Amino acid sequence: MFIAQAMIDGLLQGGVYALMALGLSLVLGVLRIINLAHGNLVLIGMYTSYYLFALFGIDPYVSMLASAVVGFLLGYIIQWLVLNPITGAPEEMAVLVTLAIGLIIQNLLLTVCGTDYYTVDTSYRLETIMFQGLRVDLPKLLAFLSSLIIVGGFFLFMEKTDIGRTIRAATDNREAALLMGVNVRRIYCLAFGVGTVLATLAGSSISTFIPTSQDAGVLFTMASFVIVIAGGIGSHKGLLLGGLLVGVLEEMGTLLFSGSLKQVMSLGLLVIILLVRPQGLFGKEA
Amino acid sequence: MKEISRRGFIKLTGTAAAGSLLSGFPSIVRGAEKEILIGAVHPLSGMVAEAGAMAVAGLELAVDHINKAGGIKSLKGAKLRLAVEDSESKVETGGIAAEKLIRKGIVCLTGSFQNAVTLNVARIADQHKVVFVNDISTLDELTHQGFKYTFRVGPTLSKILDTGVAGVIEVTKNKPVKTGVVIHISELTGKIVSDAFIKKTQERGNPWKFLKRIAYPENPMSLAAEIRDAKELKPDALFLVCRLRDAIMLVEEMYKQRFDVNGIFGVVSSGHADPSYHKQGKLSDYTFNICPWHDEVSEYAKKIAQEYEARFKRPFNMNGAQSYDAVMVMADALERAGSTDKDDLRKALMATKLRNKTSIGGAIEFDQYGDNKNAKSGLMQLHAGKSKIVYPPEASTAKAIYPVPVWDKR
Repeated sequence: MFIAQAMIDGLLQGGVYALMALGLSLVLGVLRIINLAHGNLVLIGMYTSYYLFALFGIDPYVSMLASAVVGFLLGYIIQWLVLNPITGAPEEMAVLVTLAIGLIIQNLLLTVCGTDYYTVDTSYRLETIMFQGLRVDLPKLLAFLSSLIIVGGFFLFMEKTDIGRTIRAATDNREAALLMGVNVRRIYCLAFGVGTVLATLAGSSISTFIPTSQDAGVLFTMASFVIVIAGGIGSHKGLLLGGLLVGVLEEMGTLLFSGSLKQVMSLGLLVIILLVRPQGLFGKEA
Repeated sequence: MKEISRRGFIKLTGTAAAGSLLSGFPSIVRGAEKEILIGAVHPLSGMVAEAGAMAVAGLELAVDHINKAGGIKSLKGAKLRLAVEDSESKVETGGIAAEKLIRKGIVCLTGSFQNAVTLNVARIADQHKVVFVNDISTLDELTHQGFKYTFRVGPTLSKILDTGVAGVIEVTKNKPVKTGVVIHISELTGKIVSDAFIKKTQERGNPWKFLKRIAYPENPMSLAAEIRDAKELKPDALFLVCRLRDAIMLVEEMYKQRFDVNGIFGVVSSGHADPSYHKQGKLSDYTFNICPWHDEVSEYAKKIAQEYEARFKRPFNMNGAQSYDAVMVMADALERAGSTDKDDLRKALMATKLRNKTSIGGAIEFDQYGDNKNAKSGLMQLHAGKSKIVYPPEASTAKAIYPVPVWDKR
């Protein structure tokens, strides 16, 4: 029973990880940008949902719509204003620029929203469902389900829509896309906008069980990188499975190690993956 | 090229020197002080930014009080001016901030909340022979490094735990704690505090047995496993050392898993002292916390607390109180020294006996290490979102509720 409970908690946590890392995976896979501002973009979604809940009582799963709009506009503007001008520059440039963007967002949040930790006190915040003697955390279950829907929806968007196909084409071969008359810079803006939407959607969902605070960005960025690298850059299926694997391993880790070492299993896995299969569990070989 | 004669050079440099003095650079003019610059390094961003903001509010209030009362009278009414730098909750940034303030010409320095940051700031201040009055860092070793210019207003960790362990024994005497589990963050402070707490409990003759010590990594995304682990052991009490996010996540998880204990005790836990934790309603109510606190009994402290809360819209707690006291200690030393000379100030600080203060304990007096001999601490409990002192009896403002109500009856 104890192991089964750890499995359930791990799977739910893994779903959350996958959801959180999805935007990072898109930006890294498609635009080849190591986006160190990712965690702070997740925070934008958290704060959007928090304020809409605090001011108007709107549930975070409803305010995801607003988060998506805010995320898209913000992402589009960042790419258009800051990242497009350095297209073609060494990759380190983009890393530094996203680091700066992350710091700017964090300090803006600090100035505007203050240092408090906010909890989105929904009616289901503390609810659990009992199933065969096992406890299922409801907010995490909802995040897990939304993760499946968002990953699925994103997959369809990239595979079945013209914009999705154009984004993929522009990334696969920038010159060929340019010759075919594709406005590559605009496509990059759309791609970063969509990546940011994924980050802010994750933020809305996470706000239902993790306190919203300006200092959590680094935590989300780090956790997302582990998932993206484990699952394989650009692989949406890999991302989901990578997230689940890391979540379960961390929970199982607590059965074997003390709590402070629970990440030994997940980070150990990461090291092994990097040594044996650098493209990630489900990533394509370069 | 035009040559400058010896007489011309003397005239030129003399004029420049006089000009710089009159224009206020450096800002402190001997014998006719107008403004005395006090530096503060505090975390205004990062993971303990809220504590830093509360501390800086305390500093601002104290500086205003001194200035409104006529400044430092022995220095011709010189006014205090506060220069605050953000440590970003990081050791290295705190050090850079201290260096920057020292370059600006501060007369004395205060800060810096986190033990590791404070230690670095104290080291730098001592190198530059700048008086450093620490407000709230608790690490005993801070003042045992051979620093000459470091003083501490608040109680040391040993003193806090002495009172804390005695307080736990006292408030639980009707149903003594027999077993406990310690859950702590696995960074330096978490480890030091839990080690010291366990040691202090042993010194008191092991009034309860520690069933397990569970350390969790910094910045956890979930604490379900840690609570599951503790619940299996069925302890009477939980002793927690954590930061704010973790403190909230731990009680949420306890509630979700319906993990009932007779008492949850924060042990010098910054998370449990934070106003954001106090707003968690039924989750945070009845939580105890062993920590320094402000005096809620004396009229002097009550008046300051009221003004602080009205002005800054934040609850007055030990962060605001001890920062306020740190400025008052510096102002008192400046007044008695009648000088801004570092060694005169240091001598004056050694002779401090400040009765008017906002934190628990007797008059502020420093021992040979620079520690406040009479600093005291307390055991708090949250009652309807308000932190109440339940121990020691002379400072208490409420009676402890123990065992605490089970989750389903809150």
